[in-house]
Amino acid sequence: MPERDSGQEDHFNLLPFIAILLCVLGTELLVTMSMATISLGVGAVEGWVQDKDPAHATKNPTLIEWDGKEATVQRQDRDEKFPLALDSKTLPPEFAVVINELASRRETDYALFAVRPSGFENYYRLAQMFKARGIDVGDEPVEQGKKIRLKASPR
Amino acid sequence: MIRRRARPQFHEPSLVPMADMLTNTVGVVLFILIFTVLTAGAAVVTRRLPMERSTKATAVTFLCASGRIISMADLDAPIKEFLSPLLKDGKPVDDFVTRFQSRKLETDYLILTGDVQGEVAILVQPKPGSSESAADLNESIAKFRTTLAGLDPHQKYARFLVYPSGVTAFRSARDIASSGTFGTGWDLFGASEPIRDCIGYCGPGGSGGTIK
Repeated sequence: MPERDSGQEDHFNLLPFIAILLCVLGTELLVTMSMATISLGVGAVEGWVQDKDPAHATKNPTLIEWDGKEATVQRQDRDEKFPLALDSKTLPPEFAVVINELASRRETDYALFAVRPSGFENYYRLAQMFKARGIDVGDEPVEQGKKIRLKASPR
Repeated sequence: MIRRRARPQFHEPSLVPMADMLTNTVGVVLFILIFTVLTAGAAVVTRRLPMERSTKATAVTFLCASGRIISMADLDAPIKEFLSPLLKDGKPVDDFVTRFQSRKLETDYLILTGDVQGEVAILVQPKPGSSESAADLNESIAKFRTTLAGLDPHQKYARFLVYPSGVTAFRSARDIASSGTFGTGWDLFGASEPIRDCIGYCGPGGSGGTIK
């Protein structure tokens, strides 16, 4: 009986290397897709644009985030955070300045509140402080961790 | 004499090209990963906010809680059912207050209880796990959609009572209502803040029969 050719056993198999390559590629693609999904989904920054009503003159919004304990006033160059205890009779002087500023521009500006779920309970008390000074108020409920920014309205 | 065939000599191939290909591919995909993360990280999803305006349309109320939308359009019927055993010929029965406070009525989606604290009010709470979730709203047969489909956008607007647990559902529902040219309005409620429908002895801040 002839001996079997043992050349096949000496053949160098490249399949494991291709498997490694495909595994690495698959993992990296998964990471890429996950990062993109998170960045464009739950982690995406929301850019708020106010609808233009041609029948009415619109005012300029000043965005204030409210989470029940801290008001974050978004400025063009920086954000200012003001811890507020609404039960106390007096507001922090820095926040009173914000209200005074808005009150002085009440004809052209209004306060737009982004209200987090943790701030629903006492939001209307905060809004009342602004309304009492003749400042128009708008609000939008927003998820707790969602990042938001004001975007310029299209002309 | 049988001559054995010469066994072919095995030459171990160089793995350098394979390693080269592997590192090149990994490098390119890493580059794509970095590019994607940087690009997507700076992405901003635009959301248009409706501007407040006055309307002569009347409200159709929906409750947004626990990630669900509950229609309160037909709240009159459960309230009548709640009050029916407590009234006789349109007047309160003798032990009205006691029976009112202990009365509890469950509908398909809501739980109604009586509360007497200065004013006589019916507290309305959503029944856990009932009605439609935000995902259900995408179905064309969703009750929320069919309710709106039967209404005139010039005569009615959608009013949402939003609880902290219902923000996502509210935003989905409002988008649907707005796309159907309905006006929308909303009120925010704290997690422990019940919806009170005052039916008697309503104070200056009382609701006088309307919600909140």
